[in-house]
Amino acid sequence: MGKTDRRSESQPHSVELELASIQRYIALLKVDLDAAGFNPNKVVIEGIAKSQAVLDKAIDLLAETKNGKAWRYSKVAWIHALFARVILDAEMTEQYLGDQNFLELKDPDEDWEAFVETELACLEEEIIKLREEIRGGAI
Amino acid sequence: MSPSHKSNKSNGDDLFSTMKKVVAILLPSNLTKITDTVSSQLGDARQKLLSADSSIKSVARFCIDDAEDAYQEAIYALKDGYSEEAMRCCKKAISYLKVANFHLKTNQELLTEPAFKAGSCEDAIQKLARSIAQFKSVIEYTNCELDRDEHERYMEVVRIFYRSLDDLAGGKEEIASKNSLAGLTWLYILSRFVEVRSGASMTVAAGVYLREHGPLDIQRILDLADSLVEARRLHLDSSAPTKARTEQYLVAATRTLNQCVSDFLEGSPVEKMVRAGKMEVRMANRLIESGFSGDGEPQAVPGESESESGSDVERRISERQYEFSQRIAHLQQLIKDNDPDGLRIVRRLHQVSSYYGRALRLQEEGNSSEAERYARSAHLDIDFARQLFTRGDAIFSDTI
Repeated sequence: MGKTDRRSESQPHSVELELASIQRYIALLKVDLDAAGFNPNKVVIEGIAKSQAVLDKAIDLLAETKNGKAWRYSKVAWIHALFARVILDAEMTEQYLGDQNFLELKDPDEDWEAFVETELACLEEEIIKLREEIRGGAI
Repeated sequence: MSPSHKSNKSNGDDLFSTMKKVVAILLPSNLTKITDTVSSQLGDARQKLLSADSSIKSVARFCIDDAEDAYQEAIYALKDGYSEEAMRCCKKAISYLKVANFHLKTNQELLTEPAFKAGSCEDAIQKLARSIAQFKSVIEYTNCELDRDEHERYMEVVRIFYRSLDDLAGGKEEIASKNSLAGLTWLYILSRFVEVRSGASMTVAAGVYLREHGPLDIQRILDLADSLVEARRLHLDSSAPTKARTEQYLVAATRTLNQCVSDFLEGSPVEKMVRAGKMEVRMANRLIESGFSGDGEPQAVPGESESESGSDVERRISERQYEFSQRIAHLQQLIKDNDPDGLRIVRRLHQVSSYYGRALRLQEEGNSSEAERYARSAHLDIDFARQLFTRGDAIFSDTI
């Protein structure tokens, strides 16, 4: 028996109960999100979507009788949902306090392609610089 | 029950009976039992759903719908002669139904929060998630504004959080654990530095968690961070000339502290680097004390300056490698988040980072020809990745 199987046996409840709990947690989170009345940080929406996607994957793994892996994915799904919840809670409190200028957690997505292109060019320059240093004998 | 509900139920019943008939015609004998089970469990679940508490109805309904979809896929697979796939789909339907039943049982207690073993990898990642949110709240409550570098560090911690989760999902628990501990450490350092700079009270739980569950190297790093924070506090109250003379040591100690966290992330021991950082803090403290007492330049402790210069080159190379690898990791995250077909680029960028680091190390060892070989490989690969990103296909350049 593999290590992951032993670990799944050591859990006090079934992975299905864990997955049902996450689904309920996400459902409540969505209710609060709808009631929030403001546009929260995009990591909240992303967190819910990622959690649901990983949760579906965990069910696929159960169908393949890969229980250890399913347990692992359930943990990942939990944490994605939890992150969405704690960020939403933080922003709801900030909203009540009257501050709508939230601290950003991620770079804006709109320009991501332009950013990647520019950054790739800069990193290439850095490599060229290193090659010149190596040829010149400098550290 | 409304007419529309009756009609839906009637449609659902029709669907079940049609499915059963199809199954009966097409089914190989070894699949009979499982398809019968799924079919009957689907019917039971739909029945229970009718009398379920409305607050959980929609969650249960989604599961049952997914189970039905999986069952239908099983039927299609059977029609096409794929009995293994049919079996897998049936098992998937049963898993969805098991989950649905937890929602439908009236006396079933579900977990309201994740319950991870204290100090485990997932516990550390969970703590990182909570600490990121807590830091956000504290910044907002105190009306404190982060400067550009501080905000960049904060976003870096968020990226580390996502990487930890990816690593956990990929079965790389050790790396995930290291990442999350490093993320918590960055957050602790950031909050303490912001506290000194702004005068706001910043209580972030990351420090308590790290003191309780962090390995010895993390404890060492926290000790260095605490002593540096105290030195920075004293530095604020010192005279202008003392401030000017002390600044360089505090900057050096801060760099060393950052390097310690990077080294921890890379899996390198940090003891020597922490010692170097503490020396820099001691030098700063002595200058501040002598500034207060009116004495002149403090004397370096014998042996200290020698070990500092020895670590300087190492630190500069490590910093350069770390910065490069972080920029690559940032790009990989952006591509993963936004481009579902970007896996080839992500893999290629991993190679770039690895070759660049190797080239730097070989250059340090004086092995120029090998260093150039690796640097050229990094150059070829980044050019290849750039073509993939902009055009969707790529060839290795023969002019590099």
